[in-house]
Amino acid sequence: MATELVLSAIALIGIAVIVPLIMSLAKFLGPSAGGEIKNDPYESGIKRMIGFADQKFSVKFYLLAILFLLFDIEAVFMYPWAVSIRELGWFGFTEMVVFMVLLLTGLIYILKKGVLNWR
Amino acid sequence: MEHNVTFLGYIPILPLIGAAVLGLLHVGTCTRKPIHEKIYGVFACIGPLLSFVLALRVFFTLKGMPEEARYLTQEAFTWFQVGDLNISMGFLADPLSSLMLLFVTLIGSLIHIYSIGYMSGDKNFGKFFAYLNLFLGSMLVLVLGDSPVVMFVGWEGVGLCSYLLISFYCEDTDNVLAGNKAFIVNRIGDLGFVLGMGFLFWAIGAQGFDFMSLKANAHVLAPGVALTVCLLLFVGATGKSAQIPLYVWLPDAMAGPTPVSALIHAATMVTAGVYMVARFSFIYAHVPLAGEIVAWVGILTALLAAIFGMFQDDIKKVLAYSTVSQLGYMFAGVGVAAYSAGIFHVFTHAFFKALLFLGAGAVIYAMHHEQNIWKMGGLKKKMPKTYITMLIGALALAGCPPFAGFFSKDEILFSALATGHYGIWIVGVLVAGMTAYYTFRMIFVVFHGEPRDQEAYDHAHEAPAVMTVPLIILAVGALCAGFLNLPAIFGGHQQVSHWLAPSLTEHHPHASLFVEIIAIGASVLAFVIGIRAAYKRFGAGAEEPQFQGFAKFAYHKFYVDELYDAVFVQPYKRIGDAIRKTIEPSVTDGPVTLAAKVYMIAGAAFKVFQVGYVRVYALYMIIGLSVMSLLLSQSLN
Amino acid sequence: MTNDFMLLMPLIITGVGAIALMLIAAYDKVTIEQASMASMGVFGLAFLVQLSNTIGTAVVPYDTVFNGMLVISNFTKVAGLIILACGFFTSMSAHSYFKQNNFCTTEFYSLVAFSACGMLLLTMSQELISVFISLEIMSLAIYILVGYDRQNKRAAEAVMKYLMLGAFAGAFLTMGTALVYGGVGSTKFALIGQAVAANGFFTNPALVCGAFFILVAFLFKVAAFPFHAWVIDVYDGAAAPVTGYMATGLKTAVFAVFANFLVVDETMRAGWVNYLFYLSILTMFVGNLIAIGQTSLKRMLAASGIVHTGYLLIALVAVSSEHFSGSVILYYLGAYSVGTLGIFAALSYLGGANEKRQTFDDFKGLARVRPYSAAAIAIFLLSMAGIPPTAGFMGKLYIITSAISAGQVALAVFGIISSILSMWYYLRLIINMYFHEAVEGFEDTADFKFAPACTFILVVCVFAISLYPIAV
Repeated sequence: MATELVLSAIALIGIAVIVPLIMSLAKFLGPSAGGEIKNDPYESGIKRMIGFADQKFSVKFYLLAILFLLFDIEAVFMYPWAVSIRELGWFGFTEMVVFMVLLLTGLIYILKKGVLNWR
Repeated sequence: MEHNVTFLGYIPILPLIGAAVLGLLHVGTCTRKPIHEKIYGVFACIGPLLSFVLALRVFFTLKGMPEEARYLTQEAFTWFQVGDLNISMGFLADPLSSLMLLFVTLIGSLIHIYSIGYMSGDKNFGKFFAYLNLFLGSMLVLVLGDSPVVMFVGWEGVGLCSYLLISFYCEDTDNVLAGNKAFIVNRIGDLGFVLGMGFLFWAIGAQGFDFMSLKANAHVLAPGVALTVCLLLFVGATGKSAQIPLYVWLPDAMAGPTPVSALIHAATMVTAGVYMVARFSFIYAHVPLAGEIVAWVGILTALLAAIFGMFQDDIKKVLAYSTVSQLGYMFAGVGVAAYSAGIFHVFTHAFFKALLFLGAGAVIYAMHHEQNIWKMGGLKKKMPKTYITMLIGALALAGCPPFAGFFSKDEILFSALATGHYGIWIVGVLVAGMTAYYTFRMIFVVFHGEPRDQEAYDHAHEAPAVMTVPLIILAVGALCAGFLNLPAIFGGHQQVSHWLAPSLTEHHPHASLFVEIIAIGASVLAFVIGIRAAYKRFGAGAEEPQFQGFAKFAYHKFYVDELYDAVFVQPYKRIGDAIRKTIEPSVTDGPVTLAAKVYMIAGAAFKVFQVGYVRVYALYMIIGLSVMSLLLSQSLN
Repeated sequence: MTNDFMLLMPLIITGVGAIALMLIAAYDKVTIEQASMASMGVFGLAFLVQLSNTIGTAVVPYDTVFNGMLVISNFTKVAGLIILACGFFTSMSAHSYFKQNNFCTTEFYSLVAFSACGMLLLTMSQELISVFISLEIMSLAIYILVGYDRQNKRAAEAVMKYLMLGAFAGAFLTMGTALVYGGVGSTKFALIGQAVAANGFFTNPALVCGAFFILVAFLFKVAAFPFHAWVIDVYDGAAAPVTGYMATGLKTAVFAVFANFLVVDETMRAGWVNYLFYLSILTMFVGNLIAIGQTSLKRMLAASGIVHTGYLLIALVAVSSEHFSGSVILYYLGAYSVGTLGIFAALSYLGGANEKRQTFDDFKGLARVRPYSAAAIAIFLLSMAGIPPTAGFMGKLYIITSAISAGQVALAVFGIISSILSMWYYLRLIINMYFHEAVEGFEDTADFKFAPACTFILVVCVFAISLYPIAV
């Protein structure tokens, strides 16, 4: 029991000391070409981060990102399907067609609504 | 033979659908352009006529069955089920209800057709027919109900519709008061019905509360209970069928449009009481004392109403009292256990009373809503069809052989005599004479002699065909209906009594030919004396008499209304006032107000918790969750 | 297979309808009025198919589709009927509502249909993952519907609160699912039931905690104490037809799945009875006390919705898992839905432009100006208060009798007391409508055909349902 406690204590101390140490070393040792724009926090296309909370800002980026995520995740779903396509047979094929058609209608909706036009 | 049928339910439902359709049409259009009256008229008449056709079908189906098993049933759905009480919305057609069905639907239909003419031009034309259809539908539920509870639904529906229709011309306060009176008086009777029904259920309801089970179990009723049930039910019947002491609403009920009076007096409302007593004949037959009371109440009502009828000057009031009087006969009939005779009188009376009321309606229509007979006179020439048909009705009412009323009334009086109820018989014969007198007093004053109001007379004219045709059909009924139950002495077979026999628990009295001849002779004699007295007094035209002494007393209906007002209504109002002023503010209001205040304060306190911050709401959730988890950890241990 | 297909047909119809409405919206070809009618058509068709499934050919009472993830019984079928009817009447009243409020687009009806899909799935779900997915399908659509009026700050506030607290509850559901899976090794209700029957309930801490969290999520969705606080602000902020839809369809769906989850095993149900006992009493009384303090009609109705949740919890306490039919719950849900939908339909056309009539005082003297509307509202209120001969009365009667026959006499007594207390705020509106002079004119509603028709049909339903007997 004592050994475990000692080990975990050592590990904790290691984490507490070594991680900040390495990070601050990187700051001093690495090359840096700072500038105002580069030091600005990056927040997904929003330019001014400080100000009134209820100001209007463009959501284009979020929209695109969320759509990308959506279709990306749906595409991931096809991997397990592709692996087991032989076992699933025509039933699996039909199900995937239904799934794709649903996705397609979503895509059509998005296109027609003009979400993808970056004005 | 298949006893379960599906068409029974349509008989009451068709007029009820008609009522719904008409009501919606009226409600939907009354604020905008009204629909043409003909559309209402057609819709109104379809339901009753189809019901009549179905009633014929019921009749012929029953006729095709063996006599001892003549019944049809339909169980629409289980209405409710509480403990032992399992009430289904069921319908039962046996000979008794089939007879009622036939004339209720036939006369109802004729009155609907007649009303198209009578009510034309009324701005509430559609509403009137909606009520009329509802009225008929309720009556058919009453007649067809297979248990006292379903019967009670119709019973109450009829009461409601009578209220709606009596106060139909609701711009006038008097009409509204008449409607109120009818409704309140009927409610007193309904209390009796409900209590009787409750007693009956308490006693034998557990084995099934439909008429068939009740009939099968009636013999286990203790005599005292049976008497109580009979008397309580009779209280209900006195309300609906206008007997002493609850007859006071019927004469006032003529405040409604005349076709409504016809419907109330002939087909739908007042016959319900007699029908109910006949329906429960299996109990009444075991309790002679109850029958005795029913018979005496009936015959005294007949006497009282006949006295009133002799002194009235409103054509509809004369007819109203004649109805009360005839209803008295019917109760005398069912009271002496001659149920078929009572029902037969209901049947014939429906024809001639509908005829007389519709005829009176035609007269009133022609005289521009004048109802006082002392303003009429000599109308015979102007309205020949109305005159002849009304004359037939009057002869039937007065009991002139061979018109319908003669046979039925004679049957009742004969039964009274044959069962040894001599007192009832003597009063009955006396009333028969009085009936002839006041009926022909009305006929002579209205149709004979010289016109008393020349201007109104000149404008008078025969009613349109839509009104006279129903009159003629009814006149044929009033003329011939009596032959359906022709007694053996005239070579008949008493078909109606035989038809009704399976539904009723009665023993036909066997009496000698001598007794029968005495009964008939006395009736005819009474009729002749009555009509002769009327002719002497009014035949050649008479002026409006000034009533003195007893006549004045009778003209004011023995001041019974005033008496009721002084003895019941005013004290009741005073007690109500006293309670409102003293007990209510201190005893009942105090705690209620206090509870309300506490409740309001608590409500205000809880309102504070709805602060509107989502973090606070989340906090509530967490607190609730923590408390619940604490409790949960206890149950885990 | 064909059986399965027919059973799923209502779901498919609403789903396809929702997608079609969405595509139509993209092409800008139809007006919102046409879209409303199309949505009515979709719901009407689905309702009829569901009806024919329910009363038509005798299908096996417990029919499983999709490998046991969904189970269709008479209970779920009737719940589906109620939900589809709610969708239908919501589309109907929205048609009139959007003649005075102009923030509608065609997608509105698409979202109504999508949420109905979620609700239908939820009633049938017999597996925790499908429960979660269908709950989210439903909730996401509802979130959008609540905040549909983007210019309206109150709607935005409402959707914010609902979304945050809803996510909170969703987290509980997921956590609970994970724990139950950890405890039992399956997420299927049937297998959970078997495991509980084999090893007992309180012997399995992971299962108990998981079930507890799932319970919390459901209680949140039906707005039971102490998870009720959001409901007032959210109902108030949403558009009148949406509020009506949330109060009825959503509640029906969640109660259906709640009941399904509770009855997987008797020991499990018995374990929660104590909780539900106190929760139902607290829910009823807290709801009543919140309701009497309100001046706004929608807030009052939201609070009264809490009270009705309390009644339904009584019914849940009294269900038996041996012979579960759920008829009492569904009867009450049906009766309550009719009344609530009716009032919100009436509010949809009486509320005026931008729902300017909100408080009790705004409806003063309605009976003088619009006698039929006032009468309809009065009937709905009386039904919700439980006055005979309305459906609401029969619903309460069935709940109270079932509580008594389950031995929960105390609950029955509290139910009756709460019902008396609730008269306070229901009658208050009736008094305002009938016994006061009109303070302002009400617009002519002659061109709003659908919502008045909807109130009329629902008035008929109030009485028709009360005549329909069920076996308790």
